[in-house]
Amino acid sequence: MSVLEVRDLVVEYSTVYGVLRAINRLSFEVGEAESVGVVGESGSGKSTLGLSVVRLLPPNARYAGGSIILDGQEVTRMSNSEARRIRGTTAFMIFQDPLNSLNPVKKVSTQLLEAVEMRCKKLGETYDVEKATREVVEKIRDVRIPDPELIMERYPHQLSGGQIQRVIIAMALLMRPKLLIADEPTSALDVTIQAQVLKLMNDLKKEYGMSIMLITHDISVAYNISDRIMVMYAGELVELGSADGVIRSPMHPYAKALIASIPRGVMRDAPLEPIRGSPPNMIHPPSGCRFHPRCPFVMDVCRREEPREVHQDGRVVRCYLYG
Amino acid sequence: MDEPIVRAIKLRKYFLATKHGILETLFRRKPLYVHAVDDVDLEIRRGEILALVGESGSGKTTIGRILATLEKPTGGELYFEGERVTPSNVKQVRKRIQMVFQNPMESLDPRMSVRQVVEEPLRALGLSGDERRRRVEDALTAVGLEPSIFNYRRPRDLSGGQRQRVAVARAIVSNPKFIVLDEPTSALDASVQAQVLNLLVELHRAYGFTYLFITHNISVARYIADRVAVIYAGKIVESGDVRSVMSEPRHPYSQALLKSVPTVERRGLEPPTGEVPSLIAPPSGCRFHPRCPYVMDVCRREEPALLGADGVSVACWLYGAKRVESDA
Amino acid sequence: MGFKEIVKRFLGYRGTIATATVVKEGEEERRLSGYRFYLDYLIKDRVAAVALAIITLFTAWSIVEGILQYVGFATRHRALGWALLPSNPIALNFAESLKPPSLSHFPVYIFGTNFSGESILSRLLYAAPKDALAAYLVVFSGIIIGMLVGTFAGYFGGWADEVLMRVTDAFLALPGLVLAIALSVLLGSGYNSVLISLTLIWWPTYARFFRAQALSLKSRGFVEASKLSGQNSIMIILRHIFPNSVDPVIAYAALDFGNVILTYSTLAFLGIGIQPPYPEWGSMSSNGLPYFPQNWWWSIIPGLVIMTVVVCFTLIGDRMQDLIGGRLTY
Repeated sequence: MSVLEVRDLVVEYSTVYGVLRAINRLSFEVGEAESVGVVGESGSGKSTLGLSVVRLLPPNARYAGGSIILDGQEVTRMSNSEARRIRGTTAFMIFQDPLNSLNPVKKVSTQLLEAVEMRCKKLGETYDVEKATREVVEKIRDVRIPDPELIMERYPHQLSGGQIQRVIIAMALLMRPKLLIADEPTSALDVTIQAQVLKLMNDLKKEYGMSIMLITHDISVAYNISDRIMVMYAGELVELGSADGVIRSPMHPYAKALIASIPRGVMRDAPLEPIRGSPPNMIHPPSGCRFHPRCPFVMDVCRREEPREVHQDGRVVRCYLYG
Repeated sequence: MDEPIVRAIKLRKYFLATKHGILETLFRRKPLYVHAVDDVDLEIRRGEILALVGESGSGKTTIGRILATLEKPTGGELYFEGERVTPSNVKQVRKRIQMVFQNPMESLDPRMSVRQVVEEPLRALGLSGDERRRRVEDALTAVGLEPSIFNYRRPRDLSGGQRQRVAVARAIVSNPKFIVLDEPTSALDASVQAQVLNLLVELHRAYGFTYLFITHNISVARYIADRVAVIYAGKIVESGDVRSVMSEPRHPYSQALLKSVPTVERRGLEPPTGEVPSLIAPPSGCRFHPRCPYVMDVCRREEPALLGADGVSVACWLYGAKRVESDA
Repeated sequence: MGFKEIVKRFLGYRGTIATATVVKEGEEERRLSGYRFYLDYLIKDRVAAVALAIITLFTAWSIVEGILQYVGFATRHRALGWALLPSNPIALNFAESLKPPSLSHFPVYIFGTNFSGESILSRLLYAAPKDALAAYLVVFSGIIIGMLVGTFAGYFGGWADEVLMRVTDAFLALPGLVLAIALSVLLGSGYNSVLISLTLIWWPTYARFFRAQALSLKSRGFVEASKLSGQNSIMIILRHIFPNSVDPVIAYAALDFGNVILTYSTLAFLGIGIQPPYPEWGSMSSNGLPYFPQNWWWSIIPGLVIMTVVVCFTLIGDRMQDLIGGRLTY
């Protein structure tokens, strides 16, 4: 049973320039205790995807098609109160900027206890302060913060970025979600802290059996923490497969180009291979395959019709090179 | 020419940690300082690309700004092309230095056209209007932006990569000797980053600029630099030619840094424990000692000096047999 | 379509403005830029369009009528002042005293008359330029003084900053109404003393605004690049800081016009400012109070007019803040 099943999802924004289709018939799944890395550059729709799973889209966005089934429930047609119930408890979202994620006027302990209280209400358990406090301390230890009692008495502005992200992960553990959605959780952090937080998420995934959907622009980060990788371009799925598979033998030209553009080697021995062209206009996207203006293998059919998804050996590719 | 183009000796920069205005002086409160840069020695040879690698708060941006003469050091000496940089000659020295900033959105005046932005460094040089125009066009062409199209565009109409190219054009238009680049590609998408890096390499090859390339991205540093200096908590912990430092890092922090970087070559990250220390009251002795897996007694008591052999210098007691008396 | 949908549609787009579309290299794209962009957005937004129309009418009328009044005063042909009005706003005509609004003699009595028989409409129209002048003059001088003080303080920092900000705080602490009353005692309760007192208390807010802008701008890349290019501080301020500080201030200023009119009317209501027999919106409202509710039009209609103008300015300012807020989050 998959924790998250997205089928033919379409999400549109209405803007002053026109309708922007941020997600165009996207389908994928996240299984239990599995981590999927969603990789894409800015404008690919990856953040919109995360927000649409937990119904946090801005008011000018709408679900224009398809379905999102989270733990058996259809998210796109839920009422607002139902959406509120699943938010946090079934799926928990972590954002990029740690400084804006916690309430600056409440202590860490207050906020974590509130999370426990919320969970108890949503699941119908009784809330007991002492039991909750013990649980909070335990989770703070789980996220590798030394001296939980000290941290609990602090306010968010007294914590570092890495610590805040860890506190948020502790909050996530307290809510016991089936799915953790992390939108660039470490982009604002230093390299060593990023490594700590990513390693933590990986360890916790194994300990708690939590599924993770990691949204990032950095394919190396996705590779290090995901079981499977989904590459998005211009709101569409272009490739999906096991992490090793996608990295070692990428199929879609965009995926290939992404991997090839990572700086490797020493002292500029060979020029890097950037992806030619520029990101597409999402209000008037290119005809046919949205990547065709930039594709080194472009064929006539690519310009005319949108390629359908090809399923091959556990991989999904959206490209005419494969069928 | 053996004389390095830029030389910094015992550079120090301390910032006030809290506001220290009239009231604080009246009440005789002691000012607290952030020791952002502490006793840093650095040399950059003509025509080379030196990467300064560190995390946020390490002091790398501050060093970059001091070397670009945008910030006055609290202590130490700065030499540019052999002459000592002082408040009296700083304006002259500045004509030979340029800088590319991190955030392309913020480094261009949104109210100016591309042409005006790139032209600005030429205004102080006393050239004729025609000459300026020609140089601007040459610079734009050199960075891959067709002047007839981009001359009158505004920054808000450009993509991140294009803005950064404009910033590079501005940096080269006055033919500087030395360019400080502060995280020039960190705010860009992966594919655009590759374009901009290629451009910087091309310009370096064509015009022989000297670069100080500040970055937190190890892969980028390894790709672009001739030499690397690793900075931690305001001090240089290791420096040397890029192949040595990257393939066989000696300092425990450099080792930890390399093991923390996610790559597509291998899985598994081994980050160091703990966090970057506060620079207001940095740890005694070696600043990395609280997090170092090889920490010894001496590390807690005394700071190791940056000692070198065969082009690689390390500041670590694992390698320094004798203590070096500092001439304070 | 639910109620919420209807309200949303009527009020126009309040959603996020999409991130700027990328201009393709080598391609030309027509894009609205600068103030035409604002105008285009405002026009698509129906409520704001109405507000904009009312304000434009108000300002245009005030300019025309104001010039007429000034010329009339200067050449001692005061009648010029009411040449365009339906009737003489200060001519006593007790025969028509306290007439309720009616369509006779359109449009003279559309808002009725006051005790002296003067048409409320004519008086409103006659008084309009004073409000407009107060609004525009006070706000613009506030911006100019605030710009000089705030930018200087923010950019140079240190002692200049401390001293200038303490002076600003001192002016900010002045209670506006009390100051106006005090000044009117000293200088005579004329229009000029009201303008002076309003100007004195209005600039500190702008000083803070500009200081905040200067502080955030001075660490931006292009200012530092300018320093490296050898520009001196004054040139940097003129070429980089001032032009970039203005955007958010415009939105705030649009709101502020309404505030000035409100304060000015309140002062007039309290009897400070223009003296009888010359009309002023606020004083008309207060003079009509004793006759409320039987002759409600005397007091209510000027009040409604004040409210309308202020609300329109506020609406425009609000929309501009949305726009500018959206633009600033590239």
